[in-house]
Amino acid sequence: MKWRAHSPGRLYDADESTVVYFDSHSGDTHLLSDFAGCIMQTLTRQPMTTEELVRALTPSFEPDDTSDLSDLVTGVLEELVTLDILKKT
Amino acid sequence: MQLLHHLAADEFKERLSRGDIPLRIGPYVYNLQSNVPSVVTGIETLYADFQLAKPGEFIDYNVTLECSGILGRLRGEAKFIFDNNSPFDPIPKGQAYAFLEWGMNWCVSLHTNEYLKLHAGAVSRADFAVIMPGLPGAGKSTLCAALGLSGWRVLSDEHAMIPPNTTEVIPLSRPVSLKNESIDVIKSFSSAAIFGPVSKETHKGVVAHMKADLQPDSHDAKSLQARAMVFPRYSKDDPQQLTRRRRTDSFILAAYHSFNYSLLCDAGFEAMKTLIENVDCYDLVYHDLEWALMAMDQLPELQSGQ
Repeated sequence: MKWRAHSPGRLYDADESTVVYFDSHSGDTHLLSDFAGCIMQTLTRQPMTTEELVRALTPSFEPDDTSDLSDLVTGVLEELVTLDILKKT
Repeated sequence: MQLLHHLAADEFKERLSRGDIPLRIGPYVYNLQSNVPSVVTGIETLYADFQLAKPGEFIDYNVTLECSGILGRLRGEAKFIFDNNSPFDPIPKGQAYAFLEWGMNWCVSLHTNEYLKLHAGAVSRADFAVIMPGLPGAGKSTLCAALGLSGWRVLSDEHAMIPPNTTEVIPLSRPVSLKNESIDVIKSFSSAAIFGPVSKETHKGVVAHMKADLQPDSHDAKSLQARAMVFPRYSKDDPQQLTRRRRTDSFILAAYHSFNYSLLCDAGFEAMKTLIENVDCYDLVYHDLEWALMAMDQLPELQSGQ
């Protein structure tokens, strides 16, 4: 199962702890944490499984333990599905 | 260049009654028609220094506020007509002037999408333009009026119009709408304030409009660079402060205050992004107008001190 963004999306990153994400599928604009923004940015490039996503994010976040990152990613993915900007395919 | 006050009083009334007062307001021409005495007085007072468009020029908005028909006269009602249609229910004649101004706002809010439009005041001083979005009751118009009476140029009390992918503001100067206590606040603030007719018992309470084209360049159509976005909030209890706010938060709030951000879709996002990443954003909490003016005057220094 892969995670796929609803639309190519547009991101505004002002180097703050939050980013603005525009979903052109719904026309809605969301204020996301920078971490969630990073996930969306990665998934708008190509759909990925959770494992692929964790591997893609690991160099940027350098976690002590990849299982912590995996848990964090899983939680954020569910929230992004709730926002209806991400879907499982 | 013919200004409205160049017309003799009789000629003005006659032309207004038959719908031949084409006023140049920002990038648009509004052609006005009315036979309602308060509207006649209001236009004569508040638009005296506006330029009349030349005969044959394209009219963007044909606007009529009239009291017509036996029923209308008996009931004391007036109706707003836009391009031969009545989009709203008739209103009591005593509220006609406020309704004219709201109708003129509505024309721009609903019909023009060549700009990113924010529900915001916009002011400038020495080419330093500031956009001030605000919810109704935030104190945006009161601040706009005070700034206009203190050397700032009021670009608009209602619409900040931004050409997409620029940081420019297109001036659309019209009278400032003041409500309830704000009317007396501004009357106390400056005896120079010129008001139009008072409309009572409107859905917003008592409403009066203040002449806002008080600077020599008030009718200059040239756009100005927006340098700051200030979110004003009147509060009797909170400490007065001017504080930086995050750009991403400001983006969301400005989008919320936009008339057409969602309509413009991707183009709206890009337009807002260009604007927000090039202006500094602030919260302004105030209860004393003099203090708020001092804070606004500091904005250019705050930017140059970065």
